[in-house]
Amino acid sequence: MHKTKYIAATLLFILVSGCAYEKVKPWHRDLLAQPQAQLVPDPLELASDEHIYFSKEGAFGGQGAGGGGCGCN
Amino acid sequence: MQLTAANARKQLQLATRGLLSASLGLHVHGVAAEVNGKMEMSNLYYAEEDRVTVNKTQFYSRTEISEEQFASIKLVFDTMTGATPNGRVALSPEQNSQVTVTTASGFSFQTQSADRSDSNAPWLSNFTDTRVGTDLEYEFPLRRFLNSTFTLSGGVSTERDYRSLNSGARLEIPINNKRSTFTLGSSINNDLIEPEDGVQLQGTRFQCDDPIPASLVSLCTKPPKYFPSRNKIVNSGFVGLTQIWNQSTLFQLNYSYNDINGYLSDPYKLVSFTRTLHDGDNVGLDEVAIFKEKRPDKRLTESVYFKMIKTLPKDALHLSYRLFWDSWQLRANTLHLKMYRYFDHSKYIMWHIRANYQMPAWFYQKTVNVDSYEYPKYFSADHRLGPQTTFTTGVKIGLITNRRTETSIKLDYMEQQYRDGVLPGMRVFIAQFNLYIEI
Repeated sequence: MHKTKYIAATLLFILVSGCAYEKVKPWHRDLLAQPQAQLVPDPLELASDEHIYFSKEGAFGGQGAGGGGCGCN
Repeated sequence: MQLTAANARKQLQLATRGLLSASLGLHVHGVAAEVNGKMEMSNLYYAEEDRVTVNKTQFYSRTEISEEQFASIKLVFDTMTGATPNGRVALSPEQNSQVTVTTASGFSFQTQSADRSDSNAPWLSNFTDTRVGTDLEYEFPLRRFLNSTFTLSGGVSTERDYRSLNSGARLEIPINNKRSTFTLGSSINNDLIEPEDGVQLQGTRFQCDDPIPASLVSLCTKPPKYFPSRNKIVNSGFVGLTQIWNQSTLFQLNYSYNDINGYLSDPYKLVSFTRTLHDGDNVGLDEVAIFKEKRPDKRLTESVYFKMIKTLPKDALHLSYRLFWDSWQLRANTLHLKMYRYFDHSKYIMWHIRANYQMPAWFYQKTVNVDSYEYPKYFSADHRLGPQTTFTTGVKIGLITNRRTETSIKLDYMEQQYRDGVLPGMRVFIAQFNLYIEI
């Protein structure tokens, strides 16, 4: 488990360090502004899916804080 | 198009909105048009083979109430009905497809198949319930604090025997010239469990609410009693980073935790206390008593979530991985792949596959065997805490009828297998219809 945390921290450092990616100007972000490129293209669909997996599995969450709100697990 | 100061400013504005939308998880259409709000309605039909069915209707609306200040509301209505495994033994470990029951003699046993469609089987409980819930959010800019965005949220959800209150806050800070977004979030849930009277049992089975010495199991004759209401508090925290990697790639990395205290057991879940039976060469289990499950009253969960979005002019690939672990020693690895393909600007198709591999909580047991006249302090036979593997795959088709309206239908198939053979595998069919309107 400690190994996993170190891997996650390393990934985070790489993401934040800014040394390995392109410096994308705002006017070059047209592809990422498209609907299919959104982190959550459909919030209601995500909420339904998360509710199903919360009810049927022991693990939950990951995409934000909170969760639950039902007597389904 | 010639880049003038006016249209450069517009392009910058739209691209910035796109990045913020990506951070906030908004569904942005019509990039070239100003959007004052949006509404979305969805209906979901969920059906397990011979078990539970759910109908879920949701409504969501988000409106800009003044410059860069947004309010949103979500309403949800669920109805659930069907038969669900209650934790009592359904499969003997040696005879993977048969149910062992005792006769009046106590040692000989009959076997019958664990018929998936028999809703009167002793290991299934029938139920009907409805849930109504609402969530509100208010989002506003904090220009003087790193030009960030702050969101307050609150909600309530109520069922026949369960009530949940929640409130939360989220801060999103653009950094690195808006190529990155740092997010902090926190929330608290206060849940009240008010279960109905204890499970009624027929025949000579006895039910006990609290563990007693195994040697006294046969003397346990307490009748089902009224189950008092109990609380559960969930404190959650979240930190995330979204990073634009290049013109077509976006990464997200999240860490979240939940500190859960209170009554964490399922008041309707049972555990069979059993002893091993030998009848000639046959070996089976004799269910000598049934207890309500007993889980620890504390649970700390943690997860790391990583997502990559890779776009092409008409396609987008979403790949995510989540590692989950908790103080109950339950662990799960979840991989999810989605592929979007747009056909001009009026229709798209999305295909996805998800796999989840879960390892059990330390107190999970199919049955509690009392051959040695010892019993554990905590025990649960709830298959949701056991070793399981879940696969989901599906397709979604969307039609954008004009630049501000979209309808879609999504069909999923889910299959859950229990690696310890505690239950037959579960197959699920899910259909979801969505209508999205920009206003």
